[in-house]
Amino acid sequence: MNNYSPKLFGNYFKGWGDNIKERVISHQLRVSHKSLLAIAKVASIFSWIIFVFFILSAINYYYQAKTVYFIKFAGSIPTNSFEQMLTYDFTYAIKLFLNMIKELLHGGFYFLVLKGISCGLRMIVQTDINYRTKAICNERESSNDL
Amino acid sequence: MISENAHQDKFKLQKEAFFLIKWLNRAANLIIIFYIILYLQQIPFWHEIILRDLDEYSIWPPVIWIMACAVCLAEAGINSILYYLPLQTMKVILKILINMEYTSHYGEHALLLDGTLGARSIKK
Repeated sequence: MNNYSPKLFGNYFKGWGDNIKERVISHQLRVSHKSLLAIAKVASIFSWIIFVFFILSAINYYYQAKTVYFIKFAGSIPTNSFEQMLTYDFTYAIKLFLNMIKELLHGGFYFLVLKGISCGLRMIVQTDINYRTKAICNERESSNDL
Repeated sequence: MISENAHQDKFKLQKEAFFLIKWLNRAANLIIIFYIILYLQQIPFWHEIILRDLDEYSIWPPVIWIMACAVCLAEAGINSILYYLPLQTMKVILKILINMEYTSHYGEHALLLDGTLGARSIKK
């Protein structure tokens, strides 16, 4: 009987046809493995949330600048449209664009780090399982030889 | 013996890691370039500040520009390092983990097939 919940791991071990290997994996997937894989999954989901959050933050930056512009300069300058002002004030437009890119890059940074953590944790679990499987297989082979 | 699907699953994880390594490297380089551009456009701002602060001392104008450039480059450098180092560290950790995982499955001999890192063959 498998010890691990298929819901938690999804299709991660799907196709591991070999019975001995499957049995070994189910025995080896202990609490530490499960918690590591759970953290990996949370990190993977959270990375996407962070990425979307920073994209929205970049869009928000534009609208924030627009609002500040209207509050600060409404009525005092000839151009009422924010977009029109951006075409006149090129340095401000570049600054705004660079700050938006900065938000996106920060999002990308957190996304990649969290994805890396997720991938790394899964690889650690897999490495451990591989070593344990190999040890058990070697043990069986040696007992068969005897 | 492990089935074909199991091999594909394994390779999927390793391919994901290789993909991440590639993008971690790209992001690290991109962040350096971005921060240099971001702080280069702040040189006039820093020039104004230094000029205002050191107005009483009659300093040769190019020196003020050089000082402004130095401040901007220092800012860019510090900010770049703050992002560059974690990305590069993550890249190296993933490389080591790929190596470890590959060795755990195929053994030491498989690792040294191409003389350096056997896991590179999976990338292709």
